[in-house]
Amino acid sequence: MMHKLLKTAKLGTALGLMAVVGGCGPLISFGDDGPADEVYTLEYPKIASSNTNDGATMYVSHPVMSSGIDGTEVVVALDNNKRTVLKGVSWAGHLSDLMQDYLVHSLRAETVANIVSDKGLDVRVNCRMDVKVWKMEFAPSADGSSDMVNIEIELSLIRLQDAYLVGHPVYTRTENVVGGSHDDIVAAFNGALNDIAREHGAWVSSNLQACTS
Amino acid sequence: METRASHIIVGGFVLTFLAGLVAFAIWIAKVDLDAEYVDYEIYFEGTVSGLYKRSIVYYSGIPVGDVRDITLAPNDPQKVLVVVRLKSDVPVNEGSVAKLEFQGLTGVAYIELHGGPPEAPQIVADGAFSRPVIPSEASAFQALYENAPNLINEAIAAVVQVKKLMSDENIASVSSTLRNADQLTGNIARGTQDLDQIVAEVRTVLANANTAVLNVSALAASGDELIKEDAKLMIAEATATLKTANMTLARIDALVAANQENVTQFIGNSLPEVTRMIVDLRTTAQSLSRLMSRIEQNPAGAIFGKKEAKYDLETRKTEDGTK
Repeated sequence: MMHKLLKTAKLGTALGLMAVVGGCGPLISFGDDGPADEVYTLEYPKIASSNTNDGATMYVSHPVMSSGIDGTEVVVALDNNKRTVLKGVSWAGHLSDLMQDYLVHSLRAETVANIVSDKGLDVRVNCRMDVKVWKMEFAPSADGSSDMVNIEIELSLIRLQDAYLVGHPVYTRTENVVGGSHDDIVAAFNGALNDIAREHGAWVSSNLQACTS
Repeated sequence: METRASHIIVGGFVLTFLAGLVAFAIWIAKVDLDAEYVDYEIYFEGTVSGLYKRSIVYYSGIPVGDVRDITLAPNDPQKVLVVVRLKSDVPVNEGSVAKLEFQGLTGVAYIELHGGPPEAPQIVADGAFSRPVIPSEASAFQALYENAPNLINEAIAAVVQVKKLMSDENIASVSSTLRNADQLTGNIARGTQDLDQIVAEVRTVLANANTAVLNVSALAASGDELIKEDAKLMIAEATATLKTANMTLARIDALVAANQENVTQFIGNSLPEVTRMIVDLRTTAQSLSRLMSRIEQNPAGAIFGKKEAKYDLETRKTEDGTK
């Protein structure tokens, strides 16, 4: 008798759990059956040189993204300060991670500094570079004739010896999108970032001595 | 026949009666037949109203003569010549002065003489005057009479000024001033009451302070006794504690010396690393804070994403049909 009651209780518990899991089904999205997104990344075109011991060591912090632009989707700036994302396109990772990798690669290529990032926390460095990304957006036009991308990045170079702010330049670029495909949009992003990378690379090179003085 | 003896008796009686009558008259008139008098001249400046012939002349309050004549001075009409007759034994010597005095408020005047020093010689007549001249000086009453008109004028002027002073505006001002003074004195009186209260409180505070001083004194005495009794024990314990601390420091010093390289590496490398880690932790904390805020506001949206009309590059519109 006792054994029969225990078996009935087990069966009731199993049925209850099934009912709970089934009830949660509408709340959980497992994706849809639409076409897959086109996934893009940001890549600096030059090959990064090997770090030497000639320059100062610089730590590049993880970028701080402005509200609404961090994520895996491409931000679209519409009229009247509206924001949305581009359908069918996504970044290969979080945009902040892509930006950090891009900056590290560009700085290694454009300067003689020893650049370290997240993996170099245990390395004694001379300077730290904080990155703030204000804009990273696609601004479409009504007919596609004047699509463009907008990028605005602020860098802060801090000497760790005395927590001295060496400088914090702001770089702003607007790049026209030639063509109307997703490839063209990402190419415009890469082109604008390439211009910024060369410019801030030159600035870092000219101020690198301040990190060790 | 007529008797001869009766006529002699009657005649003798009449003569005796007449002689007694003359003696009685002389006695009644107190005529000093043997007295000798000397006339003097006194020149007064100004009026001698109230002085008449036969007015009494006093010497230090004693009647010694009378006024014989009152006329204007022969060569100076502003002066009055008064001739007095004094007894010859009155010591009118150099330095004597005559004053015109008055008896009460009746207006009857008399002459008061004041003698000079005893050794001074008697006043005698010189060549310019036929009689000795007694110098005079104005008395207080005489000055009063002379200045009375001016005094009255001054008094009238003073009354006019007082009348101006006591005008209605001034009286109103004085009344206002008196009210203010009354209010001021009232405030002062109330302030005095407060002062009394303050003094009482100060006394209380002083009493408390006195008690506190006594307590401190007692505490000091207790502390002194405590030090005397327990000082040795406390010093011994303190010495032991210091020895222990010294040993501990020596161990720490040895430990640091043995691991100096590691400590240096920690200071040189790990501290900046900690700093950077703190920065990252701060960023992570901010992200978590935002995530918690999103979960609180819209739990389903935070987990499964918000509904967003994506932009379709082919149609140049968002999914809801707007640009």
